[in-house]
Amino acid sequence: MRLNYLMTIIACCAGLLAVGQSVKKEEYYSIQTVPVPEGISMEVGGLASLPDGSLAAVTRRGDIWLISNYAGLSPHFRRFASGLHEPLGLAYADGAFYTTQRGELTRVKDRDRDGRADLFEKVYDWPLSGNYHEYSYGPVIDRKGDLWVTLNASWDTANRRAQSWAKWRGWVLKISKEGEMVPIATGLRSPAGFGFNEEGDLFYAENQGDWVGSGRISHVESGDFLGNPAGLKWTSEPNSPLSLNADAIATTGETLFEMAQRIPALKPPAIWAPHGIFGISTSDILTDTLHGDFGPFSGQLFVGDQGQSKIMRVALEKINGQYQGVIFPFLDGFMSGILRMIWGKDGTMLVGMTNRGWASTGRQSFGIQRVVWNGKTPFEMKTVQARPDGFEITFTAPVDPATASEPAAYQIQGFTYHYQLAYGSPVINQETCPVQAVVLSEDRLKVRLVVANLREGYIHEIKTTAIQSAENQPLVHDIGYYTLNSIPEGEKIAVPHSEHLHAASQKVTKTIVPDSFLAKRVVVMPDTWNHKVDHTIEIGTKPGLKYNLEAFTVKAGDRVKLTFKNSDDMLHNIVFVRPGTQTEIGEGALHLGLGGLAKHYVPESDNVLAHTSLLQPESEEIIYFQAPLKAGNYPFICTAPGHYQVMQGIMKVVE
Amino acid sequence: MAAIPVPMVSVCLWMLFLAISQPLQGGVEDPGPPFKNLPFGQNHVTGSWKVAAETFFHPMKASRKKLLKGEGILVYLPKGKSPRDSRKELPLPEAGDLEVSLDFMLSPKAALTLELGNAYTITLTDSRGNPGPQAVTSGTVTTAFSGYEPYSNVGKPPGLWQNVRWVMRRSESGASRLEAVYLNEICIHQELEIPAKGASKGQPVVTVTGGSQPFSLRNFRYRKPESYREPDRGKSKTVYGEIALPVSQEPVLLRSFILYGDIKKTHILSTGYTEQVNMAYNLAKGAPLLMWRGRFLKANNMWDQRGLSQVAEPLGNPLELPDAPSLARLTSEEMVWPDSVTADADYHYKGYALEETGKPEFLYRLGAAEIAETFYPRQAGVALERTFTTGMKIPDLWCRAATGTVRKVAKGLYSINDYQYLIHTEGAVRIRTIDGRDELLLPFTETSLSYTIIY
Repeated sequence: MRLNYLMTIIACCAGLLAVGQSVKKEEYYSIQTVPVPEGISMEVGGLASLPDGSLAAVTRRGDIWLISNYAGLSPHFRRFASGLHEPLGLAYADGAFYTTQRGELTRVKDRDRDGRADLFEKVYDWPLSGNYHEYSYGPVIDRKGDLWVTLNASWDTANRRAQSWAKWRGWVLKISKEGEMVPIATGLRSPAGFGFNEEGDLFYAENQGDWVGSGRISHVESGDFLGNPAGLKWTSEPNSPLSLNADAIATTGETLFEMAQRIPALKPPAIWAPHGIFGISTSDILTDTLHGDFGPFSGQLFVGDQGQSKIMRVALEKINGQYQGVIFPFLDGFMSGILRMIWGKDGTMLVGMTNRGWASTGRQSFGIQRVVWNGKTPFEMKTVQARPDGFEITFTAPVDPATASEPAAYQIQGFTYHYQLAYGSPVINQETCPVQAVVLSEDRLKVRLVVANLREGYIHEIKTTAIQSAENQPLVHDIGYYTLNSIPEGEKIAVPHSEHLHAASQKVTKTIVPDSFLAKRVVVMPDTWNHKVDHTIEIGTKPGLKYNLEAFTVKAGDRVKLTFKNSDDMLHNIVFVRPGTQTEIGEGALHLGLGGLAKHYVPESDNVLAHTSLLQPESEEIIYFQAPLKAGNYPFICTAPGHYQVMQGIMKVVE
Repeated sequence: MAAIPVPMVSVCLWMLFLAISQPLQGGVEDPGPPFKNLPFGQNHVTGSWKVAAETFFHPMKASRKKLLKGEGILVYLPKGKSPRDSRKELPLPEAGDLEVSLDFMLSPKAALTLELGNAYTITLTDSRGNPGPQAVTSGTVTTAFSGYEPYSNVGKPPGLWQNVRWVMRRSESGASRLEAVYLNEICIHQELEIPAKGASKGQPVVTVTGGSQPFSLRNFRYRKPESYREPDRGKSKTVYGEIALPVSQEPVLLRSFILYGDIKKTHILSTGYTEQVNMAYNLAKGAPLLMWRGRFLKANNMWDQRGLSQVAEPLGNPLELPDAPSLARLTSEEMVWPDSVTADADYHYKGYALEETGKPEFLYRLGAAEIAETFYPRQAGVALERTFTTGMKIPDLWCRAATGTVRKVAKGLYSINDYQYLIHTEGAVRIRTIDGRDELLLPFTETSLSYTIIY
């Protein structure tokens, strides 16, 4: 309590100092750190709340810790078990822990109740090829007490694609406590996070990769194929709930939604989370089951992101029998990469983190933090729902009619992604969606928007920057992305002059790549060099967001030929910048928004000297540039979202 | 596990052993020049020193030893507790920098010292009574100034051939530097330096001194060492940046991948016992795969950055045991041992329990039978006693304790692969040979069965 009080004072002071600035998120939700004793690598793989109100955490190094008094200033840590193989999930039921090791779902018991585990029972195991990417997650326990696990696909470096080199990689499995296994669905690539909503339906979060243009959240039902074909290898197994063959999936130019129209097993995601804007590596899913004790978002899903150390918020609805919905920002600024979120018995959200091997915006290696709702309702878009002719936005507090009644207060555009073997996708088919009419509800909590140019299968960006609450507060977050798989039937609102307005919808210019981009990425040796190069250098990557070269030296004005080899399993570039501007350029890349990938995440700036394109995994590019004439240390950075803080090197320019 | 069947010598219960057949020095990756052998011949024979073609000392019974007439092995059989001729000088024909290698086999409680010039003394002991580096741990080096414990205890028990190897550099002034000492291929000392004052000039001599108990020596050899190569201390000593799992008060367990030869095994549970003996067990087959002395595991390849390989590395020189089920029901004498577990096989891994002491008890089902299996360190860590408990009597159930070349060397004691390790059992055994490979089979006559691996 004392800590809370202290935090409030700090928040108030900060608020006073920041008069006139935008909303202070801390007013509504504060992030408090659970102190971890020196010497414990609290790289959280899983969290569980225990009946006595304490917390259990399993670490990537294979320990289970019991943490009591976690909300206090000096929590007590006790090691309950150790020796597990990279467990990435934890649950507690019937007096036992359940955790998923690389190759096994394990029940851990303390038979003599001395506070130390003494029985490690296999519930179910599966083969492994030994590939590093074969992470195994869970379990999440459903209402009936069955255990759900997800199995990461293997990563094939040579062929730059996910594989299923051992049975059930790329699948969701349901396993009874007695060890009966039922394969549920496949098409998963990197399913680190999954959870049930209030209705008991399962959702999982996917990360960008091959066949995954951007992060996304899918509803999982038996027999689903959720997009990445690696796991289809096992559909001929007698217990496979689907029979789709991997040969049926090829890069055709169709979007995933379009292909799903002719391949019934292929299920489009309920939510797309635009890469770089709404995370770069979605992780856990936590449903708000607190019925108002955690703020106004009861029943919605919170979705973590490892790379951007933040949490997003998802509101779903069912249209024509299928889930779809909207994703909003929720809270950022966590200390490390978020992998796990659970509810503490005290009604706070407990967030478990690690960034080993995958850098995160939060710079700490690991940690546990709590999200505490301070009891005040933030002014937010609570939800967006599809309507036959547009959207309806529900706010958490009444809006100011002067700011919310005009169509100009809403900017909407639609776009989607490629469905392809290549890693990720740029934003494609971007078109604006003019708002033709706005109808405000009597209680001023809802606005009904009549929107032109809505397209099924498209993500719709909804911006509401100008809107204020009845108390003249701006929105805490003014953006949401609605994935419109299906437009509902029903009554439409009559709009005068709608034809005129409809005509105003337009394609967003495709040439978002500025000319200056080409000037700074020279892939053919300039004629003026007369086939002469002063300095040839090769830079590669190392796993864990690193270049294989920390520094190299050139002479001022040298003609440099640089080969960049991306041998990692993610997208990377190299951007040479002026001394001291790496943060400006790295952050600038994050603010490129939807067009970021098309611009190879290189912001337009005089401080960018030269750069490569954003390279696919296992590919390379040669660029030519002249070293600066002024001596100094010129950083080179990867500007793929979330990478620049750690993926850096120095070009030393000497006279 | 190269098994060369060799004809049995009828007068002895154990086989003729080719002294050259165990390449203890250098290993296969050794890039250095070949060693020159200094054979032990009749010229060495005095009161307490004999030559023989083969020797064996029973690790548990001091009086039990066997000698086979011939040459190649120098045997110390002391006449009395401190015989006058306990010292033997072994001259090396060349001066200057030298790398010297020597195999030795101890009898119980035996100790011997090797004096290198006047500068260093290496003590080799049956250090079973002294787990952990202590002054009498095998491999301790003493100089005029101080004593140096080995980085870790990697000595093998009596009755097995061991190897000691060292690299000595000498300057013009007579100063000498002991660059590295290896015991059983693990670096146990590095960079011990003696100024000129205490060192001797001229032709180098290794002086062997015995005590009250017998031992034997073979494969005395030397070569000019290569230019300095950094020894791999990592297996015996904490090195910078290492993430090792220390074992102190209680056993430490870790599930991981493990390399078995070149093959990555994926369902492995390793245990580091407090007696400095370690074992990696394949849960997928119910088979102990590796056993090693010294430190436990290094986890850098699991816990540094992404941990791409997920392979834990044994910090010692592991003995590879067969990656095959240990138990099977043999319904006929000819029935071939099942080497793998298939999905529909009898073996079903269930889990493991931790005893009060923290030692794991492996639990599995074999057909309808519930099996529990334990490993207890014995003889201060040079041995692991493996015990199966079946709960009920199972007809035709056998345990395959070893494969390769199997020879009985004493009552209840079997040499596997020419003294690579020993198996001890009190119970009945059957040795059979299939396709040139011997199998040491133990029948289940009761609801439990034990045998001991000595390494």
